Amino acid sequence: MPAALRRRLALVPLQLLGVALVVFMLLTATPGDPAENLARLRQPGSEPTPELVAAIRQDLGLDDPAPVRFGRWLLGAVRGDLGVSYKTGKPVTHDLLARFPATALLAASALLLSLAIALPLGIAAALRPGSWLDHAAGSLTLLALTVPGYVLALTGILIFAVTLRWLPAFGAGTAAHLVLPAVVLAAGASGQLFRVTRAALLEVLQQDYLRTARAKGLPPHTLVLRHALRNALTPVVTMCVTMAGHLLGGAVVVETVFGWPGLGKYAVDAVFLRDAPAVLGAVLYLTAAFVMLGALIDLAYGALDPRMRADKA
Amino acid sequence: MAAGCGLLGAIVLAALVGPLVVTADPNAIDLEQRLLPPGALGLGTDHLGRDLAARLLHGARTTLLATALLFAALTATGVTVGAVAGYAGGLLDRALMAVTDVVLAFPGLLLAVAIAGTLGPGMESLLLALALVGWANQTRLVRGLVLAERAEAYVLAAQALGAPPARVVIRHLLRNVAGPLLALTATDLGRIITSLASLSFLGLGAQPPTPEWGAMLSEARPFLQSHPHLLLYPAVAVCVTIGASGLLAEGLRALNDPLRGGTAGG
Amino acid sequence: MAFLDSPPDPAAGGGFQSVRTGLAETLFRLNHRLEPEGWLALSAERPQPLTWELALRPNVTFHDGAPMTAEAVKASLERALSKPSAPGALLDIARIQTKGAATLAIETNGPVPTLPGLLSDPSFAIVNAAAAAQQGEAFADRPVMTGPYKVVSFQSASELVVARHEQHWGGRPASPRVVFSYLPDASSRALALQAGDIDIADYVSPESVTTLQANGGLEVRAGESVSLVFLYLNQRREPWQDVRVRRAVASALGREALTKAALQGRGSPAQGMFPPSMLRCEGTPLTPPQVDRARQLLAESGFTETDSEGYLLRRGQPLTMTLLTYRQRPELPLVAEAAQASLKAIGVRVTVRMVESIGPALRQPDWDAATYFNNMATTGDPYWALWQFFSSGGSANAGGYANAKVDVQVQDLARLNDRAARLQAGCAAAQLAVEDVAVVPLMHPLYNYGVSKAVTGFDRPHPFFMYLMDGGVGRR
Repeated sequence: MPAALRRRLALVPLQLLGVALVVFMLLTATPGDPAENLARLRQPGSEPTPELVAAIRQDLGLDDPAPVRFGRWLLGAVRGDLGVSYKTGKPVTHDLLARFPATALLAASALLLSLAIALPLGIAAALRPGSWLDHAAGSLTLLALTVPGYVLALTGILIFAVTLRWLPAFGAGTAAHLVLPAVVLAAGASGQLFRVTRAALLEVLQQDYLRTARAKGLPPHTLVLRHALRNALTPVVTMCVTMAGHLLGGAVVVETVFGWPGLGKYAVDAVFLRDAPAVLGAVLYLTAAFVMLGALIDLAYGALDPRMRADKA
Repeated sequence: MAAGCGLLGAIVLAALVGPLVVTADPNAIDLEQRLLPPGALGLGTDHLGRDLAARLLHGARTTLLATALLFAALTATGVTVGAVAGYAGGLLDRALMAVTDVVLAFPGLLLAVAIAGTLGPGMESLLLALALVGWANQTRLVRGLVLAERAEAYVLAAQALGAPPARVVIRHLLRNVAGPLLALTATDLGRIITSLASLSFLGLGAQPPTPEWGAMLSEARPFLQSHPHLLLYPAVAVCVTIGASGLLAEGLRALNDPLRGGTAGG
Repeated sequence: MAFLDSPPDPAAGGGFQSVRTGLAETLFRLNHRLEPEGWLALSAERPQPLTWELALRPNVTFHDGAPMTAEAVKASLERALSKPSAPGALLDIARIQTKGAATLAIETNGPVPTLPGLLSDPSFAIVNAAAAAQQGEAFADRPVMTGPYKVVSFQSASELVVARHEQHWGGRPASPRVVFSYLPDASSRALALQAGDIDIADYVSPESVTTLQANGGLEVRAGESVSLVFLYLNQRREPWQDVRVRRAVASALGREALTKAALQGRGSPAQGMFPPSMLRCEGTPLTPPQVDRARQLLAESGFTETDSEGYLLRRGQPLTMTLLTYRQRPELPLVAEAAQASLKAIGVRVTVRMVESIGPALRQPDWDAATYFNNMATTGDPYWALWQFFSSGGSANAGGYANAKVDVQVQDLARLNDRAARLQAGCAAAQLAVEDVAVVPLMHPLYNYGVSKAVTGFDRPHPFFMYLMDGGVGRR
C-alpha cells in the first residue's frame, strides 16, 4: 500500500515537530536549571556558587532566549544533528546509538520470553476455561504482574546472585547478564499477553463457523490452528507491538537496578537534569519508533484479515 | 464472578470502615516504637513508629480512589479514541493515530514533573499528568478490535438500516469487543498502581506523610533485606486488590459472553 | 559507584569524579584532619601578602610519560582557570609564573591566605595541557593526568575502567586494574557486594548496614562525617523573623531521636554547624525535645491561643509551616516527617512538600522551612561555609538570615593568616550564628562504604568522600 504509507509518512515530520515543541516548552516552563543541576551533579554534596552556575550556563548557551535556543536546535535537527548533551558533552546521536543496542537486546529478549510463556498458556487456558490450568496460569501471571518491578528485580538478585550465585548481580555483556533483567521485564509483559490471548481466543472460539466445523467433526487442534488463531491474533499482535514500543523506550527500573546501560535511564536522567538536547533526542527516537510500529501493526492487520484494511472509510 | 465481587467488596468495605475500627492515627510518629515486628499490637510499626495496620487501611482509601479515578479516565478516553478511529477510518483515523503515537512516546515523567512544579506536588497533579498521557495504550487495541468487527454482517446490517454511527458502535460493536478489554482490566489496574508507586518514589503523588500504598512501597525499599514486612504488607494489599478486580472483570466478561461460560482464574 | 556520569577531564566537569577514581591529583589535598597538605606540590610559602611560592614534587610523570614540570603545572592551572570552577573567583589569581623547573609563583590580586586549601578543589587537578590541546575533544574522555591509575575506557553512566600507572610517583599502585561500575540504586549496590560481584560499594544506605555487617565476608567502613543535615528557616517571613520562635523550633526537635530515625544510628547528632572532624568547637549540648520551653517561647511571642486541633494561634492567625524536602538525599524526607511530628507537639501545623528541584524552590518566597544537606569541609577552612550560609550576602543563605555581628566576624576571619586562629574564629562565628538560630543544625551523617574483607589498603576511609581510590587500595 504505497499510497497509504506515503500518507502516513507525510504526517511524521509534523508529529516530530509537534512533540519537540511541546517537550521543549515543558522543559522551559518547569522549574529547574540544568546548569545548577550539573554543578550539583559534578560535586555531590557541595553548594554550587552562583559564579560557577553562571559560567556553566554561558558555556552551554543557556542564557539565550528560549525561542532562539529551540530554533538553533531545530536547524540542527533537520540536518540530523540533535545537539550535544549537557551532561556527557557528546552529541546526542552518539549517546543514543551507544545505548540503543543494549536496549534493543533487552527489549527483544523480554518480548520473546513473554511470548514464549504467554502464548502457549493463553491458548491452553482458552481451550479449557475454568480448569485448574486456567486458574493457575491466570493467578501466576497476575502475581508476576502485580509485584512491583523493583521488588521483583531485587528479589531475583537476592536469590540468584547472592544466595545461589548462579547469575551476576548487575551489568551487561554476557547471556548470563541478560537473564534476570529479561525475566523481570517479561513478568509484567506476559501477564498482559496471557490475558489478551486467552480472551481473544475465547471470543473467537464461540463463533458460528467454528461450531459448525466442530460439529462436522474436525479435531480441536485443527480448529485452533487454522481458524481461531488467525482471527484472535489481531489483539495479540497489537498488544505485542505496543509493548515492543514501550520496551524500546527502555525500562528505567530494570536499568537502574541492574546497571543496564539502556535508553530508559538515559531519558529519565535527562529529564531530571533538564538536559534539553538529550530529552528531545530520546523523545524523537521513541516517537519515530512508535510511528513505525504503528505502520507495522496496520500492515499486519491487512495480512491477517483482509476485511480490516484501515483505509476503508 | 461472585468471588471477585465479594473480594472487591470486602476490600472497599475495609477501606471505608477500617479506619473507624482501627483507631490508631496512621500519621502518629513515635520514634521510640520504630520497626516493631508484627505481634500482639497488630501488624507492627514502620520506620518512623507509625502503626502499619492503620496506614494500610487509610492508605486503601487514597490508593483505591486514585486508581479508580485514573482507570475510569484512561479507559474512557482510550476506548473512545480507539473506537472512533477504528470505525470512522480514513483521515480521522490517521489523524487520531498520529496523535496516539505521539502520546505513546511522550515522556510522562516530564509532564508529571512539570505539572508538579507549576501546580504544586500532590496526588491531583500526578493523576492529571498520568491521565493526559496514559490513555494511548488501549487505543490501538480497541481500534484493532473495532476494525475487525466493522466488516461483520450485523454491523453492515445496522448501517443499512440507517442506524447512526454512535449507536452502532456503542450498542453492538463495543459489546463484542469488550472481551479482551475486560481481560486487561486487572493488568491495567496493576500498571496504574505500580506507576503510582514508582512515581511516588520520585516525590510525585501523595506527599509525606500521607499513607498510600504506593508511597508505602517506596518508603519500604531500603528495608528490603532488614525488615521485609514493611514491603510485604502494601505489596500483598495491592496484589489482593488487583486479583479481586481481575476476578470481577473476568466475571463480567463471562457474563457478556453468552456461549462460553467458565469464569476462570486470576 | 553511585555517580559516574561526568567525562573524566576536570575541565569538562569531571574533576571530582577523577580524583575519586584515582585518575587525578591536585597540588594540595586535605588530610584526614581536613588540613591542607602537599600532594603534587611539596610546600607553599607566602613571602609577600600577594605572592605564593609553591615547591613542586619532583619526579612526577603524567600518564603518557611526560614529566610534570612547573611549565606543565602552569599550563594546567591556566587551562582550569579559563573554565567555570567553584573557587576560581576566590583564588583571585592575577598571574602564574614559573621559577625554575620545580617552583611556581602565584600572584593574587588580594590576599588569599587559604590558597593551598583552595587548590585542593578538583577542578584544579593537574592535567597535561599540551596533550589536551593536541587531542582536542578526545581528551575529555581520556585525559592525561598524574594519578595512580589511567583511563582505559569510559562509558558515561555505565563503566570506567582504569589501569595502573606504572611510573606513579607514589610507587607501583597496588591493583593492576580497577573497574568502576555505575549502579545508581543503593539496594542493588548492597546486593552486588553480597553477591561478591563488587569489592567496594560506594555509599550504602544506613538501612542496609546491619545486613552487610552480618555477612562474614564484608565490612562497613566510614570516615568521620564531614556533612551536616540541617533546617533552613525562612527569615524573610513571619513569624520566623522572631528569634524566640526560631529557638522554639530548635528546642522542639530532639536531635538524638531524629538521628536514630533518619540514619539508623549511622551518624551523630549535631551540636553545631561544623562536624567534629573539621572543627572541635564547644557546641550546644544535646537535650531531648523541650516541649515546655518551646511553648513558653512561643507564648512570649504572642502565640497564646490554640485552635480545636491543638495548633497555636496568634491574633487568630494559625502557626503554620511549609516544610520543603527533597528525595536526592534519602534521609531528608525522613527528617521532614519526624520534624513534622515533633513540631506538632508544640502546636505548629507543618505541611511537608516534596520538591523535585530544591534550588529553584528555595528561591521562591512560598516556603517556611527546608531540610538541607551540605558537605562542610570542601576547602578545609571554615570561612567558605560561614560566608555561604550565614553572611547576609551569602550565596547559600536561602533563609535570608542577617546578623551584622556575624558578618563582621566572618569578614575578620577572612583576613587571618594563621590556621589555628582561623579555626578558633570559625568556631566563634558558627556558635554565634547557631545561638541566633540562623539555621537549625540536626545531624552529621556518615558516608558508609561496604567493603569486602579481601580488600587491602582501605581500612580508614577518608572523611571527605572525594578521596576514595589511591595507589594503596588493592585486593588479596
